[in-house]
Amino acid sequence: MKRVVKILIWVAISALGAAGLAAIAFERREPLNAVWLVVAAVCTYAVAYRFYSAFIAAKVLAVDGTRATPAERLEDGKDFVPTNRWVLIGHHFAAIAGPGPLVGPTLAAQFGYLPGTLWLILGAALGGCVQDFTTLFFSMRRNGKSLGQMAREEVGKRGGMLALIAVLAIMIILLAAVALIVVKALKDSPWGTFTLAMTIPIAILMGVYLRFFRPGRVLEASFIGVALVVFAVVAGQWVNVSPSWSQAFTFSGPTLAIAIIAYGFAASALPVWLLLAPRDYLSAFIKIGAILALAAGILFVRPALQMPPLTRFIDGTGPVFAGKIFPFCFITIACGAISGFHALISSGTTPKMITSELHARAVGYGAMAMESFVGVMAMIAACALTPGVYFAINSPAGIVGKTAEAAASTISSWGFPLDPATINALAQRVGERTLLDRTGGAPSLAVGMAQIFSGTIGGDRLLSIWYHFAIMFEALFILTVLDAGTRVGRFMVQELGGKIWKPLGRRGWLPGILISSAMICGAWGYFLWQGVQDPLGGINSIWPLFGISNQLLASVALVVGTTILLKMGKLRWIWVTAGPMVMLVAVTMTASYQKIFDPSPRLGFLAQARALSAQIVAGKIPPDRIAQTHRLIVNNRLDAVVTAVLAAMVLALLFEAVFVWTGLLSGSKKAQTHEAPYIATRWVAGD
Amino acid sequence: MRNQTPVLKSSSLSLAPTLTHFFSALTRASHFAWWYLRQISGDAAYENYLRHQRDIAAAPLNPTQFYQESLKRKYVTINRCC
Repeated sequence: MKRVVKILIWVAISALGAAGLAAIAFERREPLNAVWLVVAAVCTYAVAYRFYSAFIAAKVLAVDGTRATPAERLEDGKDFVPTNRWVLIGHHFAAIAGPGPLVGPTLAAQFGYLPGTLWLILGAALGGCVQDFTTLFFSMRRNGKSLGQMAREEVGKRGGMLALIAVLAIMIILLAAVALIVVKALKDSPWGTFTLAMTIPIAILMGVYLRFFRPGRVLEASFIGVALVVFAVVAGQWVNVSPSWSQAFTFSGPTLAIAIIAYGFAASALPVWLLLAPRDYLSAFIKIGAILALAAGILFVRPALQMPPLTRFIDGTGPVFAGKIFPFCFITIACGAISGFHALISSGTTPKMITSELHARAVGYGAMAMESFVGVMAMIAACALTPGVYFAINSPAGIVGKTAEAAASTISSWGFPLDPATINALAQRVGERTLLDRTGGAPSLAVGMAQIFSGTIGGDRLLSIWYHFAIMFEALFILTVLDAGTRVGRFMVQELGGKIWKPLGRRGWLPGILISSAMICGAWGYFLWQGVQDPLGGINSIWPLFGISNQLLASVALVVGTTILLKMGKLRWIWVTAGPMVMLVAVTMTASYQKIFDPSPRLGFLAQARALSAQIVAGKIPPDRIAQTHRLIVNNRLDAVVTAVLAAMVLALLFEAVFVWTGLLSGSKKAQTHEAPYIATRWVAGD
Repeated sequence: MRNQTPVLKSSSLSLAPTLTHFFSALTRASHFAWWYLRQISGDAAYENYLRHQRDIAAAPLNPTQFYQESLKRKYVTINRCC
């Protein structure tokens, strides 16, 4: 009887999920309610978790609850710590969920809500969750080895080095991309800039409290910090209306870019307890709080999606970023669907903390499904805006013009009616001077979130506070990614540089710290500067580059996973990792090729360089802008080279893996995995 | 006090046990929420460490040393994603 009830419940959940997906795909009569997206996503994740992940755990990976995990065998109370399953899911989720699942879907909304939503839900269920789960499992079976170490051992020596260089390159591009988003969100915004600037002294105060007064009392310090940050958001409106204070906190894009590069350098070189760690605590609290509040707000407000399911921009002519729906929808949304960066987290701290092998499924597969849901919420927030407003905020001035009238005219001509008074009034209601030319996704997401929050609490009266709360929330944890990433990047530079000049490799040597910090900040700062100077908004170049590199890293993780499955004798189930791998290799190689060689100057880096050169030759560039145009030409050529090098590295690893696979399948190579030997657990299954 | 229990039962029928269950469930839920918050934020990390050191009979670090060492370990590797 109990079994029948269970079957009926799962049939009902499956039917509901199918109805949700059908409504998203086929409903055309009136604006779709966002609840359908929530229903489709939650039911699909539930069914995929219950059946697909259980199948992978039982048949493909042969998860063994009797086997002791590294956390049990190597327990040291520091790195290897057996951790409660639910606590570990929270830790893992907090680590993997960054700005990506918020920004990517917001940008991809230019295609309409349908493609991005389907990719988020199905991409996560069949690709992203599988990648995270298998990488976590394989790392756990190898005492928590990193992706690079696994690539070296299981695929080949070159694989490890390629993975290390690829990670460093991706880190540089990621940091530039997220820094550019902050610059675009805070440009000419005294309220937003003041709020974010205040988080620095607040974090330092928390750092001093935690270091000298109450060591390790994270909750106390975080409560104080969160209260002060909320006060800073409210106080920002006083700064905004004061002529002198407002002027003091109004900065142009280039000035903000320099300030952020200087901040990154300081955060990397300063002691970690002073700024980086307390900021991380603050950001984690606000991040989880804002995500939960957004989920509650969506359920309470149940907004209708104003964006059509598909827009005309699936043909590749979109103003937010150039490129057709294939491959660029899959490149723009990486985090939330499948993200290679997750493989670094899944093969880092988490596998050392799993108490039982049986928990790997909930942590790896489950946490990724949660992150995907964050992406769906971001898609809802972006698509709840009227399309005219969405495109006015996200389109660069180089495409729609600099004034509200010009932008409204251009956007209306695309079939998305917009009145210049509407966008000006909206800017005034959220406490900004303008919302035009705010590329990068963060401001439009903040407007969407603010509308949902103010629909729940406060109405129009609190719209400006909610908008700046959302901007602060996005910028705060972007800066956390930035400072933590810069610091790790510094260690990577020291590790690689130490092979050439030994003193640079010494982590405690001050000149080494300063040189390596300057090198890593200089590297991502260069791409940031390039984005700030770009007349097409910068995000058009840097976000696809980031998406390509992130998906290339996912390809690396899936190549490693496929190789290990073959060595485990699981040829029958190889499609579980090989399927998403083939899809990602096709997507990334197509996108790389188009970004380098496409004849359209908006899409192809080389075509844009050629077009700019032709403009100089034809005398169309004013003399005072010739030097800047030459820099743009160099930048485009550099972007093309970076894309080509990343793609070539992954192809090299893939060929090496194919060589190994052929050897294994033909029997000429002995299957030898590098798993730790079996030791029975002393603990009862479960917690 | 014990004598009053049947009176409560007879006057409010099943309300008292329901309320008792509700408050006990609420107490359990709030204890769990507090425990979870302390574990996930790292607030309880030092207590967990002390317990481990006691189990293996090793001398523990003091709270400041432990906090600094745990930060050093945490921020040398990638622990935040995009």
